This record gives sequence, C-alpha cells and structure tokens, in this order.
Amino acid sequence: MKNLYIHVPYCDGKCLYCAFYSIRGTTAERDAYAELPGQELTRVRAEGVSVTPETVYFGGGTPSLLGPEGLRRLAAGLRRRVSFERVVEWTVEVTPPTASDAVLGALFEMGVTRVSMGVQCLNDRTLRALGRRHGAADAEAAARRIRAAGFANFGIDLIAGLPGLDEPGWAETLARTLALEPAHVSVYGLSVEPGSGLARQVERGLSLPGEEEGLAALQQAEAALTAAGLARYEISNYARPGCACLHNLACWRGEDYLGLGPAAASRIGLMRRTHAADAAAYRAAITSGSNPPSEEVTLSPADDATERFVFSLRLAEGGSPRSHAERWPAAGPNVAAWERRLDGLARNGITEKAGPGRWRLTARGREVADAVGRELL
Amino acid sequence: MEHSIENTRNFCIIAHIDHGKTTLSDRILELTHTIESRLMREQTLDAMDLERERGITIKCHPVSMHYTARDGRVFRFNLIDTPGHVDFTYEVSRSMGACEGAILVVDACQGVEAQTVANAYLAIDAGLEIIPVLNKVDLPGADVEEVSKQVEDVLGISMEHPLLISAKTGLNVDEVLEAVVTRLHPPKTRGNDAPLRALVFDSVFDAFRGVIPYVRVVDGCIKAGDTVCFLSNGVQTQVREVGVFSPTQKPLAVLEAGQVGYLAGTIRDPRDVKIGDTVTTVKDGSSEALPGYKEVRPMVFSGLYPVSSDEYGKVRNGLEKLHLNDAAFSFHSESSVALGFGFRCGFLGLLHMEVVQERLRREFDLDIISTHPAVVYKLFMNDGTVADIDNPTRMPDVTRIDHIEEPIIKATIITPSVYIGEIMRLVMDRRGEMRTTESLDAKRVILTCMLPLNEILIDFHDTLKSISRGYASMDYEPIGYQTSDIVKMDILLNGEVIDAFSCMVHKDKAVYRGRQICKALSEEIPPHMFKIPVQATLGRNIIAREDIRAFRKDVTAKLYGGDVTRKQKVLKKQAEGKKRMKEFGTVRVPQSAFIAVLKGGNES
Ligand SMILES: Nc1nc2c(ncn2[C@@H]2O[C@H](COP(=O)(O)OP(=O)(O)O)[C@@H](O)[C@H]2O)c(=O)[nH]1
Ligand code: SF4
Repeated sequence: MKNLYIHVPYCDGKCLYCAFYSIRGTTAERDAYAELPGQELTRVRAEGVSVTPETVYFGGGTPSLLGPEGLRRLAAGLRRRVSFERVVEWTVEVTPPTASDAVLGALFEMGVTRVSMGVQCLNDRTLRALGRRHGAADAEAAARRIRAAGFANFGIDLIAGLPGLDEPGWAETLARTLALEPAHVSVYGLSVEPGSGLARQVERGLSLPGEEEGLAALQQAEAALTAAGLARYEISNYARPGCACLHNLACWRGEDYLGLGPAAASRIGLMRRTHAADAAAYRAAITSGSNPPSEEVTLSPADDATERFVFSLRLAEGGSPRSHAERWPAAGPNVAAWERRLDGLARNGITEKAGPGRWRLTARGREVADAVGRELL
Repeated sequence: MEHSIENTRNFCIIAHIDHGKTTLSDRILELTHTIESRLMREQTLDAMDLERERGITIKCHPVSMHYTARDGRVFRFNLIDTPGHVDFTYEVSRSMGACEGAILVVDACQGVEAQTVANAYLAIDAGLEIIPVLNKVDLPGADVEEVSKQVEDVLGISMEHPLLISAKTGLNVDEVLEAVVTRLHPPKTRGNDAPLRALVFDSVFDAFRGVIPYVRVVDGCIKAGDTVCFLSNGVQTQVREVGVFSPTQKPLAVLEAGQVGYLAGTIRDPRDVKIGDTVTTVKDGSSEALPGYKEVRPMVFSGLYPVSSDEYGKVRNGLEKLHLNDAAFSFHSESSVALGFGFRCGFLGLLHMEVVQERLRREFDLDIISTHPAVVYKLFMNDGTVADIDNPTRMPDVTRIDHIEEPIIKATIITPSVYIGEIMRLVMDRRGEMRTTESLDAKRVILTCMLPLNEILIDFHDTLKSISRGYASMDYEPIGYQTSDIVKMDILLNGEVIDAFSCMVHKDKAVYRGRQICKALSEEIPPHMFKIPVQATLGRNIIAREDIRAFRKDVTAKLYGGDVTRKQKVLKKQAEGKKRMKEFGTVRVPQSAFIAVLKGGNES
C-alpha cells in the first residue's frame, strides 16, 4: 500500500455548499483524535495489509484545526507504525484562518511537502454568503504565510459558478489567485450536494447561476490558468510542471489507497471500504480495540479492473485500455469494447486519441465526463 | 341420439362488433340445454382478451346442439363461429362454406355498420340463406323501422318477417331457433356412399395428437382407420379418431355426410393443414376439390427482433408456438445490420400483425422491436422479370427497375354524414380515390374508396376513428395491384443508415413521411453527449432532418479517493437503464422510438 489518506473530520464552522463529513467537535475530542488514525493503522496492518507510503494526504474537514501539537502527534502516531522513508509527497489541507505561522512551521518541520488551501473565491460578500470564516484578504495573507514558511509547492482550491460572482468578479478572483503564484489550483464547478445548506437554500428559492454560466466560468478559469502556465492535468486540477498532486493522480490512475479516520475510504485489492461518517463511533471502536463501523464490498476482478480504469479518462494523459489490461488482466475481455466505444466517442468529438491505443477527453468531453464513464460500464 | 341429414342444420352468426353475437350465442346454448357457453369460452379461449380489446369478436369452437322443434322433431344444430374481422376474410368465408345459413345480428339502435355489410356480403357470396335479426329491441333507442329499411336497402335482404329480439332478455330467441329449422335447408349432399369430400374450415394444435382439422363433411363419410389426404398438397394421414363438438370433442364411430366435426390423424406440421382444403380418402376418394380454396398469402410484413440479442431463441420459440394455432402467419429468420438477428414475419393484415406481436409480448414476456411494416411490391425489372419485394432492405438498384406496382384495397366506410368532408380529405391525403357515396339513412353514409394498402398500414384506422369521434367503421378487401411511384426512404441516425427504419413510400409522400419519422425519433431518443442529426434520405438527397440536442453537462466536479467507489456505484446504476435500449453505433434508441415511428408520430 503506497497511498495513505487520513481524514480529519473537524472544522471551525460549516460552509454552505459543503457535504463532506465534518463537525465542530470539542477541543478535547480534537486532541484525542490525533492518536486514533495511528491506532487504526495498527489494525489494518494486522489484517495483513503492508503499508509503505509514498504519498500521504491529510484531508478533511480541516486538518490544520488540530494545531501544531495535534498535527505532530497525528504524524508521529503514523510514523511510529510505518516508515515514511519512501514518502515523496505529503499534503496537508489548511484553511486561511487556521494556517497560522505556528501550524505551517510545524508542518514544514515534520517534512510535509505540500499545502493545499481551500479559498473558493476572493470576494468578501460571496465568502460571507457561503459561510466561510474568512475574507479575501485573509486568504491572500495566508497564502503569503504558506510561501514564507517554505512551501513553494502549495495549492489553492476555487469554486466556479458561485452565486454573486459575475464574470468580472470571477476574473478578479482568478487574477488575484494567480498573483499568489500557487503551484497548483483546483477549480470545482459548484454543485448542490444533497443535505448541504445550499440545497436547503435552493429549495427555499435561492437561484444559482445556470448551467451555461457555470460552464462559461470553468472555461474562463481554464483560459486564465493555462495562460499563467498551469496545465489542466485533470478535469478540475491545474498545476505547474512537476507539481501535480501525486496522491490524487495515483487514485485516478487506479492504484490502491488506504483511508484512515471516519468517512475515509479505501481501495485494497478487490476490497472497497468506507468508514461510517461518525467520529464518535469511530473513536469508540478504535479505543475499545475493534474495527470502526464501515461498509465493505468485495468486487469481482472484472468490476474491480473496470473501476480502476473508468476514472483515468479524467486525466489529461487519458487512458489506454490495452495497457490497463496488462496491469489488471481482469480487464482483458473489456479491451475491445472499450476501444470501440472510445473510438465511437472520438468520432463524435467527445474523446480524442492521446497516443497509440490511448484516449482522453476533449474540452467537450470534460463537460460530460460522467456520461463517458457510464459508456465504459 | 341419431339424426338424419334432414334433421341437421349448420349455421353461423354474423354481426358487427358489440351488436350481440356473443349474447345471442349464449341464449341459444341455454335454450338447447347445451353447456353454459361462458364455461366453454373460459376453457378454450383464455388467450383471446386481446382480440376482444382490438374489436374482433371472439371466435369459439364449433358446437353441436340438440333442438326440439315445436312440431316435436329433434334437430342437430351445428353452430360454427367466424372470426369476424377483415384480416381473416378468407377464413370467414371458409367457415361460411361449412354452413347453409347465417343469422345476421344487427343492433336495432346502431343500425348497419361496416362489418355488418362486409359479413353479410360474404355470406351472400357463400350462397347462405340469411336470417336477419334485429337485436336489442328492449332498449328505448331501438328504431326497428329505420334499421329494417337499412338492411333492405343496403344489403338487399328482405325484412318481410323481421325477427325482433333481445338477446339480453331472451325475447323471441325461440323464434330464431324455429327460423333456423324452417328457413334454412338441410345440408345438400351426394350421400354417405359418395366418395369422401370434407371441407377444412379450421384447425387447432394439440400437443399429443398434433394438428386437428375441423371439417364439414360434404359427401361420403369418414371413420377411424381411413387413410385420408388433402387435395391441395397430397399430404396423407391415417385417421385415428373422428368426432363432433358436443360441446367438447366427443369421439364418434363415423362422421357422416352433412356433419360438422373433427378428425385426428398424425399431422405434426400446421402448415400441412390449409383452411379451405378438401379432405378425401386415399382409396376410392374424390379428385374433385370443393370450390373456394385459395392459398392465403400474407399481405403485410415486418421484421421482429428481440431487444437483447440473447433472446433470439425465445422469440423463435414463441413464434413457433403461436404458429401452431395460426398457420396464416409466416416467419423466417433474417438479419438486420442495425438489429442483429430476428425474423421476417408475414401477416394477413394489420390487426393480425398487432395481435401476433402483442401476444409475443404478453404471453411470452418478450421485449421485441418491430420494423416498419411493408406490403408486397411487384418490381418489374428492365430484363422483363418480376420480383416480389416485402422488405425495403432487399430493394435492388433503382436503375434496374422499370416500374413498381403496389397492392390496392377497396375500403368500405360507414360514417355519420357530418364527417364526410374530413374523411374524404383523409382518403385523398392517403392517395385514395373515392368511388361511391350512398346514404344509409338520414344521418349516415356508406363510402367506398380505393386506397393503396401501404397508406393504411400506419394510423389510418386511428385517424378515421378520431375524425369521426369513434362513429365511423371501416372494412377493406384487397383488389389487386396498380403501378405507382414508389421509392425507398432511408433514415440516418448520426450519419449512419439504420436499416430497421428504411421504408417504401410514394414519392409524393416521402417528404411528409420523412419529417414524421424524423420528428418521432427526435422526440423519443434521449439526448446524448453529442448532437445527433436524424435524417431521411431518398438516394443521396436529404429530404428531412431533425436534430437531437446534446445534454449540456454531466460531470462530477470533485472526485477524490473516498468518492470513487460511491461514484462508480451511481454510474453503474445509471448505466443499467441503457441496457434496454438498442444501440446503433454510438446512438441508443429506446423501444418507444420504434413504436412512435409505427404510430406515425404526432400529426404535425
Ligand atoms: N340491452 C341489450 N343489450 C344487449 C343485447 N344483446 C347484447 N347486449 C349487450 O351489448 C353488448 C355487446 O354484446 P356482445 O354479445 O358481447 O356483442 P358481440 O361483440 O357481437 O359478441 C354487451 O354489453 C351485451 O350485454 C340486448 O338484446 N339488449
Ligand atoms: S472548511 Fe472545507 S470541510 Fe470544512 S465545512 Fe468548509 S468546505 Fe467543508
């Protein structure tokens, strides 16, 4: 197992659009949490999964909310159990208000190589409307702190198609983001997640920018970011050369990953496991020495091999059915059908050849990537 | 009980749908103390709901009854049912061939309708004595005088002694039975000693005994042990059993001249037993066929394909089973570029086609797609040969064709006169020609017109019904062929010809029909990732086009590790829905699109 993900389920509030599993938690709960993923790791290894991480990702929630001490203990808990010697990329997610000098200093000291910060946009009114706990200037200051702490490789996450952000407003966000010289930018189209505050507001009559405006905002982002030298290496991700997020790449390319913490998901061989989104139950299980509640399925080798292929098309490098089947032989019987479909889609401008036997999405294809995925199932 | 030929009466009951044929049959069976007909129908006709829904009267097995007349004589009545729909005209006429008379039931409230006319003419042509009966006189709306006049004027049947009955209450039904005795002749025959000639008027398939022909013995007699043969094809069989319907099959030692019954031999293939054929004995038999036999040829063809190709075997099985009791439809395997392996099926008419397709769906639980129905065109080639073409995909190169002839029908339409204008427009619109217009009564007219069969294949009947608020009734018969400017139209989806939608149309109708099909398809095919042009073409010319717009967007913005499996599940579930669609290249077409095309789409 080369890819390790740790979910930190705490935030200092709830953003309107967010459907990730995160809770506020008490200081005591957050402090106690730092020990748990390490303990879970012991259980996983006892199951016979050998873990030698090459990429590590602390996501959330807001990992930085654990503070310098909490983060140190979380990392130490892991490193006591598995060697980080091979780790080439270690990412930690932060938010502007929690990216303090102390936290950033601790991260740098620990050996973290990458910091990723959720910013969403650089417009105070919209940030407030989204329930973010910071303004545009705070975000810019945080980015400068990240740089100053020694992280040349840092990323900023934005959301396209936000209400209240017209074309010039979005252009301003993009320009000010680029001025911070991030190595990586993620741009997600706004989606109304069931159960989120946004979903409730939409139900009550909030009107959001339409599909066309959303797609236009994404195009605007692509133009601005690529012009600044960030390549779109995945549908929602842009990076300077050599700065693509290796952890996420591994998972799009179909590699295994181990997720620790509540709501974390793992892909281990044919097995897929997602822990229940319940921090208390997770803590109770781990401290009492049992497995955290989770949903687990074992796929057939064919389904497993298919899943590992389907999302590779989201990458600019595309996917090759033939070489995929070399790595995952159970995909063998699908190769011809996949090639036929990808070819058919190429004739309709959805995919294009990206080398012999390899296809990727076109600009139009990126707008309908899920439908392409369905074609391959 | 022994009956002489003198004391036998063979007859049928004919009527327009809902005029009371079934009810009257029930009353007759009751009065003759025969088994309750409802029971009989349940036993023998479980699968016929569909026919009922489509407005065909239910066809029962023949039934024998004993009737004691007022003068004390005891008669054997054989009531032979007829299928009562135009598609089965030939079978109707052969059933009539087994009778000496017909009870013509006319609803005294509705008056003469199209099937009244069609059936009455068939009976007259078959030389039957007709007993006209006005039914439903218990209803306040009954207009005996007017309807009697219609029967006399339109059908030329004397109403001097009208039988005014209510099949429902039983009023005067006994008079009908007496009329059968007094007004119908006993069977005409050369006697029991003459060489055997028996008319096959129906058949059923029995899993154990094979095909069982129903026969009317005209001359001579048949008994178990005889070796008989069919004159049309020389097929021989040894008779194992003969019997009558009383009301279920009851074996007898011998079936005598004038009687109606069945014979069981060792025939396995339903195609060997042809309705209208003559049965005779191999030894000392007759070589003289009974008149009226015709080889029935399917008139309407269409391809039937399983939606999923692994159901091919199931479809074959279903067709074979249906064919056992309905030798009138034909099928053979064919393949389509678009649809894969399936069957080309021939039917007697439109309704016959619908019934067979619907039975496959309902009784065999099959998802099937049917291609555009086609008639049989005669292609006169430059080299002097003539080819019959029932499948547009078989059309040879046009430069080799001198001219094409298409089948024509004569239609009889009875309608309230207020709708004449609109109906005439419909007929013209379908390349028809009006022939005659006669008034039936103060409010209704009978129209006769000639129409290309091709033009009534799709939605003619529905349109007629909707124009006339349901009041018009129609009947038709094929009358021959006529030279016509017929062309083959192709339909392209996303630039590819889909042979399943190819059809033959008149040149003048091509644009209209092409637009109709393109529109129907564009409405039924769900949006894809890309725009799909739907085009109709004649040769290289595009004559109609609709575009199916692409859906705008379908993408998960943020997809990270934890989400992949969940997302995969969602996609997989969504993908299930596509499996029921037929895939043509990169385009998926739902079954509903095939149906919409056949329905002609929405009239624009
Ligand atoms: N009032 C009345 N209704 C009748 C009479 N005969 C038949 N019906 C009704 O007319 C409808 C059609 O009759 P049915 O025998 O099924 O007609 P078929 O289609 O010719 O067999 C049924 O609802 C019968 O109950 C009658 O003499 N009087
Ligand atoms: S900070 Fe991130 S995880 Fe927390 S509520 Fe906001 S969007 Fe969700």
